[in-house]
Amino acid sequence: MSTTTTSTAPAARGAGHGTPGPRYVGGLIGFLIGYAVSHLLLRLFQGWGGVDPSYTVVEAAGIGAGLGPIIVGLMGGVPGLVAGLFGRRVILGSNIFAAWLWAVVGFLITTLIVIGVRLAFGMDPISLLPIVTFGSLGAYLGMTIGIGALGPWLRFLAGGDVDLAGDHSQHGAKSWKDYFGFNTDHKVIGIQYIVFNFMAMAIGGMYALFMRAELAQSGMQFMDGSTYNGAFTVHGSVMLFFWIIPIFAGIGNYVIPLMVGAADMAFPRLNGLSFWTLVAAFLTSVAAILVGMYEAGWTAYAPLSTQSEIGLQQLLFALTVQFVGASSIMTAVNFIVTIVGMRAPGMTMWRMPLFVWANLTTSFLVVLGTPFIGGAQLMVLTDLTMNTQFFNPILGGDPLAYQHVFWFYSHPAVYIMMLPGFGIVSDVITTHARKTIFGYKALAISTVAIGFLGFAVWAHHMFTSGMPDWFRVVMMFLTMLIAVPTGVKVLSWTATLWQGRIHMRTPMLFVLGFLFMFTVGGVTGIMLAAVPFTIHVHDSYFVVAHFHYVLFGGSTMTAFAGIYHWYPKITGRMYDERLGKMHFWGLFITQNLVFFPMHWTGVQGMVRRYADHPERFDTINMVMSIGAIVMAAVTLIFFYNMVNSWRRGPKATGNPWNSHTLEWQVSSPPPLFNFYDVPRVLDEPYPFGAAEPVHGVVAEKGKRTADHPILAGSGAGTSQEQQG
Amino acid sequence: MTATPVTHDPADVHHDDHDHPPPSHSSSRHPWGIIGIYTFIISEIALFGSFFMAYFIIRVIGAVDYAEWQEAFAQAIPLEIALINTAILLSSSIWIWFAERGFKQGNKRALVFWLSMTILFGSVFLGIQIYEYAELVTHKDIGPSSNAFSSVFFMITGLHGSHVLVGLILLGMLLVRAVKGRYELGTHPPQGFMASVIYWHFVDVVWIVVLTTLYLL
Repeated sequence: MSTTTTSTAPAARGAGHGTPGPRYVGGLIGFLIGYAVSHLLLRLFQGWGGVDPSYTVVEAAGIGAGLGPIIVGLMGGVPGLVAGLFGRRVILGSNIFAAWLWAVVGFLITTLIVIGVRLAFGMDPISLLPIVTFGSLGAYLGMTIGIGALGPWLRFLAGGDVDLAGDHSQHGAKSWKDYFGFNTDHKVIGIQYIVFNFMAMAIGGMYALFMRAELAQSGMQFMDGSTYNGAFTVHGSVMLFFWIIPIFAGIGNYVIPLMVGAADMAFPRLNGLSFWTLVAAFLTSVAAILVGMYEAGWTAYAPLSTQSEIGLQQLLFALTVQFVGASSIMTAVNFIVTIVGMRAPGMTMWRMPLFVWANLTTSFLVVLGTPFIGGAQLMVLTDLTMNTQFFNPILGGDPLAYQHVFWFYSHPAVYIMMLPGFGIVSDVITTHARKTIFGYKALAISTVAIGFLGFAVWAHHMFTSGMPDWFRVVMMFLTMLIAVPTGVKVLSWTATLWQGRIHMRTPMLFVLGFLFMFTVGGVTGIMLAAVPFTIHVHDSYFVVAHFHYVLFGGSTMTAFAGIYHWYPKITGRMYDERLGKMHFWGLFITQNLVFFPMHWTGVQGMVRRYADHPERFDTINMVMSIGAIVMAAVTLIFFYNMVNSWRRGPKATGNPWNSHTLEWQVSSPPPLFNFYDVPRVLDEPYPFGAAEPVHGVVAEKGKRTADHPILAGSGAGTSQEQQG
Repeated sequence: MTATPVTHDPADVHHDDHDHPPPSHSSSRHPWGIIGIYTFIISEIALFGSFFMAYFIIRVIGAVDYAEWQEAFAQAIPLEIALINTAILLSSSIWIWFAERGFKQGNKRALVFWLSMTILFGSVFLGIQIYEYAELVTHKDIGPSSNAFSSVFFMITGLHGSHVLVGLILLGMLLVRAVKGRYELGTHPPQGFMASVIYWHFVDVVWIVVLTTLYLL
């Protein structure tokens, strides 16, 4: 549906339906209406929210006064322009402009309903927070309908005769425009995720640069404290919610169905909806930034987040969390069903690639954990809107309850951010070292063990929050226990390298860099688990250093490794190896330059989340800030490499790394439905060094898997002997 | 969709457009929709778990005496009402079992009747719940913002009520399809039907936990 609409729209302009005059007039009117409406809405909400109307993020960044409202105006104006130009074709079609328009319509309709209900119950009809809460739900519904995600479902709900499983009308992209619309193809959705996440990473990184600019010297440079609070909150939440967690959902989306030998995910439409829910979450977050930044940190601890002075922003933050959570859970359910129910014949659990193991475990963590952050932020939401008393000690509430519920998600969340990376490392390291992974079962089981232990250590984030002593000791012990399965992993990876034929390609470099960085981050993690030490360095830059070593040196490096590793598969082109190596070395050096000194400043007493620091830290902070700027420049090399290689890089073969897992046995990029026949898996996933290494066989175009020479010769295909 | 036998129609495989997927293969004994709904229910349990976690923290280390609140609450809402309501909701689980049996036996009248009964009982449950709310707010002056315990009470029962509502919408959808004759009766019900039934049973089970923790304990 989306395909036809988006691709015919420009053609219609050339075909000349009607005279051009009225159409341009319509476009102009549409633009003006859209601009005016969104501009007015922004002013209105800023006024209601008690925010100084001149205070928006763009201005806070010093880019120029008044630019923020203009951007908001354009956000309404451009869809208005397109709607005016193309009329019905756009408004009733399935595309992003229709999604935008119907989102606004949904918002307005729900607003009217809320006002009506409040009038009926004799309440003050105009109340900002309920309107925003329900309005954003209405906008979400309108957006998903407008993008074309719900069509068949709605027809099915109404009792229509719809073949949900056999409907492939929105599967696959025929031109680049289809990547901006709703799609049910996991390969398209994977690319949508990845590109979207890199955009989010760039935004989150920009906020990190703002912070580094402010911290380069002692004293206040160009922000006030409140803006600084906003900067670190936006940096943290954007990086976590829109970069690290979903980038693995994106890579997994592309790779997992291929790895298990499936034509698509189990629920393709749900998969598309997950992505667009994440977009809705992002837009909600952007709305919070535009009406004045949310400032309570990404943890949004109550009672700070339930204070009414920053109520509107925190409400939008809470809604962001609901949307992100819903998106994560939908994706996780999809992954679980895909991995459990769609593996190719012969792929037993112990023949799954380790990335699949990692994704399965992660998905269970998401399913079990994410509702807790949803619940915690739901309580914040009702505290703001309905004045509930969850966190008010005077009326029996308890602020600690927020921290417990929040960290019960957010500690497993660090493994949600890390385990898929572990899976990528296993796959990359065995391929580029040309050697069977050392301790396959140990790696798989340790992944699951980390998942279990992850739920039993949440309170180590709260050692200074007030807890019984015995509880702190239990948490300290369990936290240190996690080092055991993690150590098993690091040992297995290192042992895989031993006597392998190591190809120092970019993905391998990133994995080796990861091993170093993650080990440092792991060791500081053990230090932080020790209660007496934590009490000294709690909320200091030591903690910042620790989680940046784990999340940047760990997760982000593995994400880069995965992107480079599967780049030929995804794009059908080879990336530039020289630029890739420059990217790696630049990133590796600069991140140590930025994050390593933080250990020292933290122990010395430089406090986290402060906009200023004592003069004695001036030199070292200047070094870190310069490192951050160079790091941003290095990242530009990466973007250039990705875009340029996609356009001009040499064509990639189906299996450039000579790997054995199923995704490499098909062409690059894979056919529309991945496989021409159901593949057959015969043996373990990493048979490097075997005489005739085969993991599984796939059918060529127009043939059946059973006709494959390997299967045709030996009947059912007995497994071959391996050496380690 | 259990382990669809791989049918090899050469015409299918040779199709040049490749506009349809290869024959699907299932590696699980259970249909995908059923695995999916159980996975989703795990996450629903976790969502309720987050509120129960907050509830018990508030109850154990909160500053307000729980016994005091319990007394006030018991006076406001007689336990009998909650127990009758429980009976109504739990019996709806039996009615939907009859509906499922009617489906399998190919009895459309039984299917439609028992589905309607389930929806009716679910709606009555919601109605009584709303009556409880109204009674508390208007006559006893206990609202969501009175104290932490009333917040918990309204939130958890409200969360459960919204699940009942979603379940009712799903069942209504099944009813529409049953009346329109979209189902092939006399066979095992399709995944969508079974998923909705499982969801409804889940909503009932959660209510038992809610009743035990909020009303009885």
